[in-house]
Amino acid sequence: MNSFPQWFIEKRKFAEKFIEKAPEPKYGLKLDWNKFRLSAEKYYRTMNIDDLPPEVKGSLQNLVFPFSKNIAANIVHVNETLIYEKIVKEMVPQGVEITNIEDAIRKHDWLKNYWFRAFPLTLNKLSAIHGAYSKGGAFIHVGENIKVKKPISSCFVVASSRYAQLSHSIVIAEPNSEIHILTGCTAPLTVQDSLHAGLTEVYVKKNARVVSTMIEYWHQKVHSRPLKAVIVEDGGEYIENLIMIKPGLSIQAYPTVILKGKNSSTILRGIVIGTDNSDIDIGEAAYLVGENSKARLITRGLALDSSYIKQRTKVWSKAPKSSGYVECSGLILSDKAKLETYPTLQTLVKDTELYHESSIGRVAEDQLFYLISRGFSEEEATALMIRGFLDPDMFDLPEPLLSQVKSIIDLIVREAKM
Amino acid sequence: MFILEVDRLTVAVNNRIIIKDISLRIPEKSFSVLMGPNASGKTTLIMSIIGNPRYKILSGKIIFNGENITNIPTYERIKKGIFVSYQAPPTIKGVKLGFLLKLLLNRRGLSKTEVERELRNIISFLGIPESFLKRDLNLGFSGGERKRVEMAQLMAMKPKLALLDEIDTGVDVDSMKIIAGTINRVLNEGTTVFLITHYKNILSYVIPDRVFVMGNNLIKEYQDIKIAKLIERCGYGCVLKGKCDIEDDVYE
Repeated sequence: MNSFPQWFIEKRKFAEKFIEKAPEPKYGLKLDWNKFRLSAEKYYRTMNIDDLPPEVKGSLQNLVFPFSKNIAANIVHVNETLIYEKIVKEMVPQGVEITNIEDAIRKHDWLKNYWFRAFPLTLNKLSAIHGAYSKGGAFIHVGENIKVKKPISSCFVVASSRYAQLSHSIVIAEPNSEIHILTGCTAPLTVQDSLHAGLTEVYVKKNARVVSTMIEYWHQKVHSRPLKAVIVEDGGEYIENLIMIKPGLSIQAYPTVILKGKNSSTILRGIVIGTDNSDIDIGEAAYLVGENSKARLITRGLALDSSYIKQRTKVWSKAPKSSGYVECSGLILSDKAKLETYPTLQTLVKDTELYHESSIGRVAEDQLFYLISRGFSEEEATALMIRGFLDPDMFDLPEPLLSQVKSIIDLIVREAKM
Repeated sequence: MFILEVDRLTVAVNNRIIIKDISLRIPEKSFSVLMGPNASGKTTLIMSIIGNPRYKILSGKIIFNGENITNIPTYERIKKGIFVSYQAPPTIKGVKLGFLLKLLLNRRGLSKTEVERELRNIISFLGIPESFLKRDLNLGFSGGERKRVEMAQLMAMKPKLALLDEIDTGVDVDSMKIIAGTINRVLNEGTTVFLITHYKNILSYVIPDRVFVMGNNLIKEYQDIKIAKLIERCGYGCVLKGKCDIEDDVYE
C-alpha cells in the first residue's frame, strides 16, 4: 500500500488525540463507541456484484437503484472496501472523476483543503473517531461546466457484525457543473449490533447544482449515524432528499448546509418512517451566510409501532435579504409511539425573512371519512393519507426510483401496527 | 322501482336526535330535490344513507336498490353505487387530484388508455385546468373549484345514485351552470340524482321530477316544482304548516 501524504497522517494523529476530550454527540440515542470494531476484518475480493454472498446482494436489492439501467455510474462499498465500480462512458463526460477516497487522497494533494473543511472534525466523539480511523468512501469530482444528466449511485453495505463502517466521501462540483448522487445504505439481516457512520462532505461551487438522494434501509439490529455537511458558493444550489424508509434500531442525522455564497440556495427535504422500536433523531440545518441566500427545509415523520421520532429543523441567518422556510410535521398512528418536533429559527440581522409551519397529529377524521365515502376501506383510506402525508412526489425523483420508493412506503405502512 | 327507500329513520348525533321517523322513497333514474330550513336534518339524512359512523341510526332502515344496507360499512355502500358530495369538501394534503380520479376510474374496470381518455373528458367538461391534476386535493381551490372537483369525482364514479349536498352553495354563476350541466349529463347516463339545495337558482338550469321539503320532523313530497318558488316567497314555516298553497299563490 502506498503511503498517505503527510497532511493526512498528521490530521489522523490529531484526531486520535482529540477523541478523549471530545464531547458525546448532542443528538441521537447514546451509543458506546467501544462496542464497535473499527475494522471489519472481512473483505470481499471481487469486483462483481454477482459474486457477493446472496445475503449481501439481497440487501443491495432493497435499495433498488444499484441495479437500475438509468444511472451513469455505480459504486458499491461493502464494509470498508469499494468492491464494484462501473462507469457508463456515454453518460459520464470527460472531466468527471469517480474513485475511492484513499486513491484520491494519494493522488490529489489539494484534497487537504477539503478534508474536514465542511464537517468539523472536533464536533464530537464520533467525528473525532472518524477523523482518526475512517476507512473507505467515494470521491466524486465534477469538472467545471460539466453536467452529468443521469444520477450516480454510491451504495454502502455493512456486512459484518459489531463493526463500525466509517466511510468518508467527498463530492466536489466545480463551477457551473451539475450532478445527482444517489446514496443507499443497508445491511444484510444476518448483521448484528453494527454501526454505519458514513461521513460526506459536499462542495458546491459557483452556479453549480448538486442533488443528493439518500435512502436508509436498515433492519432492527443496526444503528446509523450518517454525517453530512455542505458548503454552497455564489449562485450554487444544493438539494437533499433524505428518505429514511427503514431507520433501523437507531438513527441520527442532521445534514447541515452552509449557504456561504451570494444567491446560493438549498432545499432539504426528508421523510422518516418510524417502525418497531426505532429511535430516530433526524433534522436538517441551513446557515444563511451569503447575501440573498434561500433555504427551504421540509421534514415529515410518521410514527408507527413503538417508534420514537425527534425531528429538528433549523435555519440560522446572518445574511441580508435572505429567506428561510421550515416545515416540520409529524403524523402519529400508534399509542405506543412518541413524536417530537423542534423547529428553530435564528437571526443576527433584521433584513431576513424566516418562518415555519409545524404540526403533529393523527389522521384527520373528516379527511379520512371523505376518502372512505369515495369507496375506500378504512385501511385503504389511511394508507392513501399516509402516502399523501409523506408525499414522495415532492422529491422529484427519476423513474423507476420514484415508483419503487412509493411501493416500499406502501408495504411498510401495510405491515405496521397502528 | 325505487332506487332508495328510507323507512321510518331516526338518527342521533352526539346523543341528540336530529331526525325522527323520517321516510322517503326515490324512484330509479329520477331527479329529486330536497329543501328545508337550516338544521332540519338534510345533511344528517344523507350522512345516514352513506353510513357515517358519527350519525347513529336508532331505528328504521335504508334500502338501496332493493337491498337493506342499514348495517354495512360506508365503503361497501359506496361500492354498490352511491356517490355523495359535500357542502365543504376537505383539503387533503399530498393526495393529488389526478391520482384520486384515476383510482376511481380504475374501479370501473377501464383500461389504462380509457382511464386517460375519460380523465381528459371529465376535466375538459368541467373546465378544470390540467395543472390541477397534479395539485393536492382542494389545496388552495376556490369554493367553485372545490364543487367542480366533487362533480369530477361523480363523473369518474358513475354511480347509480348521487346524493349532492348543497352543491350549488358558494359558487358563482359560471360554476353553477357547469354543475347543472353535470347533473343533466349524469341523469342522461342513468344516474338517479338527489339534490339538497337552499336556492331555487339552480332550478333554472335543471328540472327535478319532485321536491321534498323537510322540517319539523316531517318530510313532504311535491310533484310540482313551483313549491321552490313558494318557499322563497313565504318561507319554510308557512309551507310546512300547509298555510299556503301552490295553486293560489304562485304567479309569474
